[in-house]
Amino acid sequence: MLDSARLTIAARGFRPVVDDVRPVDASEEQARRRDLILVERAREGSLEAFNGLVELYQDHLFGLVARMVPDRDQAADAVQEAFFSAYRNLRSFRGGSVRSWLGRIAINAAMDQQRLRKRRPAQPYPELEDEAWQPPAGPDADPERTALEVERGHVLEAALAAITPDQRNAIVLFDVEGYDYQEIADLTGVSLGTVKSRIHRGRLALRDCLAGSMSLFRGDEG
Amino acid sequence: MPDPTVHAAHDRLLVAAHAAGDASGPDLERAAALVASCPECARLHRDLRALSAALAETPAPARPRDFRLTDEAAARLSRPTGWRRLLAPFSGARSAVGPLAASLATLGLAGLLLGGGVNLGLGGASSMSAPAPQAAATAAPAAAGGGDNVYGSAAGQGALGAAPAPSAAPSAAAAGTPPTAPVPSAEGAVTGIASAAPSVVPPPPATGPAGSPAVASDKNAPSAGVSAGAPTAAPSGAGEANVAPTRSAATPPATPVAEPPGPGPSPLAVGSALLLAAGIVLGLLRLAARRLA
Repeated sequence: MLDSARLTIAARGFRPVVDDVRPVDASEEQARRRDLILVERAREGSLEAFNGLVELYQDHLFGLVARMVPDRDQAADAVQEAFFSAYRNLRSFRGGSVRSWLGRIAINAAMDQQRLRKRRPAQPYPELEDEAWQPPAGPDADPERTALEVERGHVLEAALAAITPDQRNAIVLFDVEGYDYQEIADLTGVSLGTVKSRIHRGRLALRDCLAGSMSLFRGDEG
Repeated sequence: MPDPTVHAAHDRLLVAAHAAGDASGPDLERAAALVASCPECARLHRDLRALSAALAETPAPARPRDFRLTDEAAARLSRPTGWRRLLAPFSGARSAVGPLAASLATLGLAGLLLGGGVNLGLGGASSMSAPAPQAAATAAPAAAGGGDNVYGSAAGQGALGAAPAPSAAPSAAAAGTPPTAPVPSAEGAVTGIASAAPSVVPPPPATGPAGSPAVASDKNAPSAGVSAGAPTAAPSGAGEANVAPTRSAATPPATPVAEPPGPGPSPLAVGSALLLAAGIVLGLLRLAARRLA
């Protein structure tokens, strides 16, 4: 199935925009093949295949966008718009990682939402007490540690909401999503130095915001 | 106890760059010195690194809803919008636009080639042979068309006298003005000659010594008649005729030759160009539509 001629043709037809030189393990390679098959089927008109992609990546995209857009509803709208845009522009997919492609679309949607929000300001993070922010607890989870992580998550999200959107975007993309400086520069349309500056200043601003709660984070370092 | 005023003067951004691993060279040395010497800077350095690590472990927020597309949403998104909507009729695989564009362009091209061949074959020959007969044909009516015998004969003489000089006949023919129009009075021969001259508008009666034919003819009517009788005065301008009536007999006239107006593009050429343009436009529209699709 994964080595079908259709997939080969599809993979040849997809020209990666940026060569990904990172080592790819077997599961990642399998995921890529699966994604390419789904994209090819979706391009042929299969809504089921596209919704398969949505199922695979909606959690990841919402997690990314919700950190960039303070308001949860607006974040959800941005993610929905990102999937709409992906569906409309399936033919513009030139290969490479579907996850990265969807991530770029979602980041653009989030930044659009931020611009919209700048014109129509709203209260940031109106639902900080939402229990949906709790991390999933494993069977052998330590309740004390889980509570600490929940508390950290709350204060970090509040601090992230307090810094500027540009700094927040850079920090989320670098520290949370793992993009490198150059990728962030390409995604946000600014220079490499600006990205670094935003990250450094953003972390300083975060630390100032968390001045009273830094003990939550110093524990790991003793 | 560290002095807070001393730490306030320290470069926090430098410490942040050092914590992120982005400091190098002299900056790295300065940052390292700050972290080593200032307890507050050292604490800031540790906090920034701890924050970076904590951010990476931040749990992902749970999504509030399912983002899968419904059939209605997919159908709505599949409909073309904007330019795509306008260009949609051109992009179909079975659209007749492509063959139509090719046919129109071919017809237009063939028509242009055919029209060009006709022009080259007939128009070229006619352009080579046309001037002499045309000049003669137009000079004759000009000579005969004057209601006044005096002007008519003068013009006729001018035309005949200019016959040896090739440029004189066309110039007389191309005058385009009725021979009697600019004639002010009975200056006869001179004015007749002036009217036969092609592009020389009789200057207004002025005081120039050798300028106007009117002055010359007023003062020297007999000589003007003589000069009118001399056919070589005809092609040259009036002033030149008055200044040196005999010199122009030897030198060929410098009168610019006025080409007869062209017949204009043929209907075949115009139609072919339109067909070609329509074919090209349709082809470009189809290309754009297929790219957008």
